[in-house]
Amino acid sequence: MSADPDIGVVDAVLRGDDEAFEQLVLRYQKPILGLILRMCGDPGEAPDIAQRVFLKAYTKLQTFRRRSSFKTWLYSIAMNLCRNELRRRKRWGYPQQIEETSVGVDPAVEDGLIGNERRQLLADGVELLPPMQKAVLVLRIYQELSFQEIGRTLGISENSAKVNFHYAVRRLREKLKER
Amino acid sequence: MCGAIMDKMNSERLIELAETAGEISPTAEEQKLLAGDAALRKELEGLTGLFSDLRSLPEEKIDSAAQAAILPAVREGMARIKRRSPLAWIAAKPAFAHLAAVAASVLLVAGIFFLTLPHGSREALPPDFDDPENLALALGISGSDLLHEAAIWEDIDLLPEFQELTDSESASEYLERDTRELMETAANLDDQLFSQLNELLGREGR
Repeated sequence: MSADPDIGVVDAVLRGDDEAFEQLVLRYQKPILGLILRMCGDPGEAPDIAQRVFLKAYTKLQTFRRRSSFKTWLYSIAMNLCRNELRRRKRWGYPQQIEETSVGVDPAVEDGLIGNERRQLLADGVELLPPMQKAVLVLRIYQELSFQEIGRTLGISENSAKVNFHYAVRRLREKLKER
Repeated sequence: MCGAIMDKMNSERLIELAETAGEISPTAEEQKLLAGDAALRKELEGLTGLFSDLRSLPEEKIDSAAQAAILPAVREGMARIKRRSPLAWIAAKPAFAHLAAVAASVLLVAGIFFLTLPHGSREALPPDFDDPENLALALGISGSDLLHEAAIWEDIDLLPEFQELTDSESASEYLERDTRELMETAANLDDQLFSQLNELLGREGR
C-alpha cells in the first residue's frame, strides 16, 4: 500500500492540534459531500450528514488503526452514516429515493453525451440497485476507489466488491435494454 | 483450435477490463481480434459507453453557502465535545482510552455481577434476553453511562432530548419503544463491549 498522504496530519490531530483536523475537513468535504449526495440524495440534508461524518472521525480518530488509508476510513464512516440515514428515512416513511433524486432536464448538460431518457433510466437504475451494489458502484465510478479500497470501506473482500460491481453493471445494462 | 482458445481468453480479458476499469488497452493481438469480431466490439462499446454515461450523470448541487458552513459547524462541534465532556476528550487520547476501556469493562462486569446476585425480595432477572424490554432492564444498570457515551460518540444531540424524555412520565414508554435503537447505538458504540455484555447476560440467562 502506498504511503498515506494524510498520516502526518492525523498524527498532529492526535497530538492535540485541532487546526490540523480542519485541514482534513477542507481536503475531504467536497468528496464526502459528493459521496453522500450520490448515496442519500437530498442536498438539504447532505451538509448536515457531512458534519456528522467529520465529527465522528474527530472523536473516533484514536481508533483509526491505519490498516487502510485515512481516506478509506473516512469514507467508511460516511457510508455507515448514509446507511443509517436511509434506514431512518425508511422508518419515518420518507418518499422513495427514486423520487427524490429524479433527474430533470438540465439545460446546462443538454449538449452532453446522453439523452434525457437514457440518463433518467440510468439514474433510476442506480437508485434501484441493491444497497451493496449501489455503494460499490458509487465508490468505483464517482470516487474512483480501487476494488481493494472499496472492500475496506465497506468491510467486504476485494473479490466481493468486484462481484457486486459486476452485478450492478449487469443490472444497469438490462435496465437500458428494457427501453 | 489453440487460436480459438486464445481468442476466447483475449475476449474475456478485454470484457473484464472494460467492466472493471471502464476502459481497455488492447494488445496488438487483441486489436486484431477486435477488428474481426463485431459482436465483441459492440459488447465493449456498450460497457465503456455505460461508464461514460454514468460519469456524466449530473450530481445534485449543493448550495455553496451550505458547503462553506461545514467547517465552522465542525469546529463548533469539536468545541462542544470538549466542553461537554472534558473527561471524554482526555479519554480520546490513546493512553487514557486504553485505561478507560479497562476501567469501564471492570465496572460493567462488576455491575452485572452485582445485578445477578440474589437481593432479598428483588425479582430475578428474566432469562429471555431476546426480549428488548429485558435487555433494556439489564442495560439499565449502566443506562445513564451508556446514554452519556452514546450521546458523546454517536449523536451529540441525543443527550438533552433523551434526558428530557427520561425526566418525563412517558420515559418508560419511550424506552420500550426505542430499546432496539438504543441497543443498536450501544452496539455501534463498542461492539466488543456489547458482545461481552450479551455473552455474560446470556450465560446468566441460561
